[in-house]
Amino acid sequence: MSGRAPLAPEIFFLDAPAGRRLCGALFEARKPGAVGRAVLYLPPFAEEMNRTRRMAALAARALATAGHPVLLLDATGTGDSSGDFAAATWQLWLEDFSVGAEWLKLRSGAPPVLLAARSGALLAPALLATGAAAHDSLALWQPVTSGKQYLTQFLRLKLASDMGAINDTAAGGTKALRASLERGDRGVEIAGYELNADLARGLDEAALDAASLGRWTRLGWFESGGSTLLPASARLLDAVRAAGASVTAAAFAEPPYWVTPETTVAPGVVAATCAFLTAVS
Amino acid sequence: MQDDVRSVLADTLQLGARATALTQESALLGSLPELDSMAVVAVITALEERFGIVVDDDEITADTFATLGTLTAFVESKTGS
Repeated sequence: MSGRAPLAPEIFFLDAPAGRRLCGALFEARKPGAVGRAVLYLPPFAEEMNRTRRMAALAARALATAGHPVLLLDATGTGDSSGDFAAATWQLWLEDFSVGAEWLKLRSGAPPVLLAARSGALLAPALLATGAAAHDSLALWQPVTSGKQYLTQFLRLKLASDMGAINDTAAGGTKALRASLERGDRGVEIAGYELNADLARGLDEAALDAASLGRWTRLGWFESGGSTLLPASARLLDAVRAAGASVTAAAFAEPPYWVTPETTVAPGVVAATCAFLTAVS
Repeated sequence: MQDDVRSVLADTLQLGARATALTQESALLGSLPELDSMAVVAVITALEERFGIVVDDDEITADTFATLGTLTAFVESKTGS
């Protein structure tokens, strides 16, 4: 490439099956000379996606500066892509990110490396299985390893948001909310997000374990909110090493950016992620 | 125990220096602007992880989160300490 690509991403739309239009932000590689492998970001869920946006942009700029094109894609019903959140299903999201991965593969000549944040990590194994993603490296930010647990936390948002008004939980608690989703009841609305039963089911059934993570050659695992890895993470990563993957893991005493109401960033996480992803071009 | 609970709040909500000012009577819900429903769930998750407890749905109430003292008492009741 001659000259430097602009710092701002290029915003464009990709066509996905059934007439869907997905909004993408492409951060072009800014390093003269050889271009490194492309990176596809798998974002967090619902409000966490919004709160993590600045982190994603920071990392994308840093990676692009190091020579790696990065695609931030809004899946169906999120960001500026087509469709309501209520229409989003786990399968649709998998299709959407496959479209993004295929586009990057065509453009860059190789399947992209995945950088997944929070529940975005739960989509990674299925994407890998389709051949859409690179299997040598996987970078994870504060990954959610149990979709079931994560769904419970999401359903708890409804209980928590009811706390202010009444000194009572929402009628029936999380079990009733799950049952309601199963029945396909409309109107299971949680913290402003209407949750499709198929999205809930996909999330509920998704999990990361040593076997699925061990399918990558190298794993980068980056946490924030404390300087030591969560005990459950450390245990899982030991099992991943035993499964044959090489693991780079670090925890930073930086803000829990995915949950803080005001936008925060974890620069150490960004730097470590870039170091990990640029180590193998 | 109150110090541990205070530190979970401080880390999860990124309270900084304000955390040290929290006393047993300090109001949490409705008083800490950081405590939106996402933060409440994050605090519950952090308490579960830190103290090895499981919080039931019917324990997610305004009474539990009223003050640092009530939250501490709640965690104490779950850990049997």
